[in-house]
Amino acid sequence: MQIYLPIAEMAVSAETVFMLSAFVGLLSGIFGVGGGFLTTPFLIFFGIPPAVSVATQASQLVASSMAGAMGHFRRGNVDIKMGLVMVSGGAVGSVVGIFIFKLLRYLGQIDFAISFLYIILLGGIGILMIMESFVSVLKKKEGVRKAFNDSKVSPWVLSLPYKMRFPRSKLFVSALVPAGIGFVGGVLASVLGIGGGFLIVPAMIYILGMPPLLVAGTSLFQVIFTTAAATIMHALMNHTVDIVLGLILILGGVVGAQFGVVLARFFKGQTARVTLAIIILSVCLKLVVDLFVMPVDLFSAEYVR
Amino acid sequence: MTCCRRFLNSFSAIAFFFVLGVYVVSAFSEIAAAEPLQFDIADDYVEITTGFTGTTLSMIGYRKGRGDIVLTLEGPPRSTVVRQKSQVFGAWVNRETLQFDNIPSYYDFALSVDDEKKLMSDELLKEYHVGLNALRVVPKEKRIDEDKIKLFQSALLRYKQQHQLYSQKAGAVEFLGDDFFRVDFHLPAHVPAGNYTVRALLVGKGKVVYEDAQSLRVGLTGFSSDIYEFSRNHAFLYGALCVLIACFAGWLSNFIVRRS
Repeated sequence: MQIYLPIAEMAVSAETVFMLSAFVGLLSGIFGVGGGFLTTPFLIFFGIPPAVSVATQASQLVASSMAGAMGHFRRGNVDIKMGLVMVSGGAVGSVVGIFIFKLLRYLGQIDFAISFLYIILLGGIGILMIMESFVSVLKKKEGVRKAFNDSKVSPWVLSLPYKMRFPRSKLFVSALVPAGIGFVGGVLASVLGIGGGFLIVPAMIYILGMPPLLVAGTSLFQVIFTTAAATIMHALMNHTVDIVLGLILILGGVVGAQFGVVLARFFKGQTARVTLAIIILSVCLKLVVDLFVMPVDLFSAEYVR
Repeated sequence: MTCCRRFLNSFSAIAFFFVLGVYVVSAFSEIAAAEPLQFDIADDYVEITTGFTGTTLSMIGYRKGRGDIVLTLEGPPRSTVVRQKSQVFGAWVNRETLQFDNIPSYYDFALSVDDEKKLMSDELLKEYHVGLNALRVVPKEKRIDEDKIKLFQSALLRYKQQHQLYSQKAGAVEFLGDDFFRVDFHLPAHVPAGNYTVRALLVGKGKVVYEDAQSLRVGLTGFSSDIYEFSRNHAFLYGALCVLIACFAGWLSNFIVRRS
């Protein structure tokens, strides 16, 4: 069924978009990742303008992080104070991100910037995951556990001013650290339409020294707010949030994630990780090919808004 | 006597209708004489609804006497920037740009002959916007190299054609009889919204004998239109509403999962 997207000003096949988001939802259900970093490139492959893809994907992330955070919240695995300090940085980051986005769009480099950043991001994650799999096969995950236990916050981080107590995480650190991490997340949400969990989660563990139990919930909690800020800013500054597309993405994501959770039982940790890494690397490869292979037409046109 | 009156009555009735008939016919022929070309659009409002997948715009017309017919369909003017990619460290990146102001966002035309060049001079084609080469595509900035302008102009036309926004070639004016004609324009799903102009020309001996124009509106309606308008006029509220809907959807999905 063709459905007209009022903001993207084009008709798309609703089933295709639904299947796409269900597939990404399935992956996120199986592997416990956000999946925003896959949906945006997929939407761009389908011919939806990058600006609309990014902004709409941000709104989809509000829904998926909301659903994810509620589960963690119920189990008490959210450090709300820490989350709110991160959100303060995240809000600033999403505003800065919007201006970067607007500037790149004005310069005509937004497509390139999005492709380029996704290549680095997906390539980096994919390679790291493959390497980690090999390492953990050799060391039988000892390395990972050791890294968690031995994580010591660096003295440079401890020397920063504006120290704050975070009773839930049992930390006494500078508020600049969580705010800074949130800031990066906010920029990523605005420019790439991703929650940035893959970057924020390790940062919270290794830089901030948060207890791993609280990390996932707190990260999801702050992602709700940064992606919400990014959505509102995109709607306000660029008029690129397509609610019709967003609702299909949300619906597909929810349905896919449920199947994913069921399927997760049949996937063993190692196989799952390598499978996801291969999917991520193929998307990355497609982006690389698109960027480096000579386009059929060197020219493109766009309305001036 | 009564018989006679009845005869007179029916006679006057017949006479009345006869006179009326003559009058109507002559009135019509008078209009026809004044307007050698008439046409009408089947739908003067194209509605883009949520299920819109493009449509066919039909026009029926009538010409009096000899002459060729030209119909042009022009979309609302929009400023468009054309970008050229070149290689930077092996990657293809947008480098050169040229902006064209107020070019038709959509263009299609139909002829009763196979080539517009057979109809009139290039100047007249330009004046009446007949054919792709007759469109006014002028760069915003002045003092730009002629070659660059030509290159970007042709790239723009090519881009528009590839995206089905400019016609590949002239459509046909289909004659239903000697003088009645019909033209079909196919609008794609992503046809730009706005006010369109349909212009009909009657051409004879290299001159435009008669010209008529009608306007046509392509617009979002219903749900699509409401969303579009709301997102433009109340951008912040729209964004906030999107977030609220997403939050509700997230909560709902969590709720359903917990129940099952």
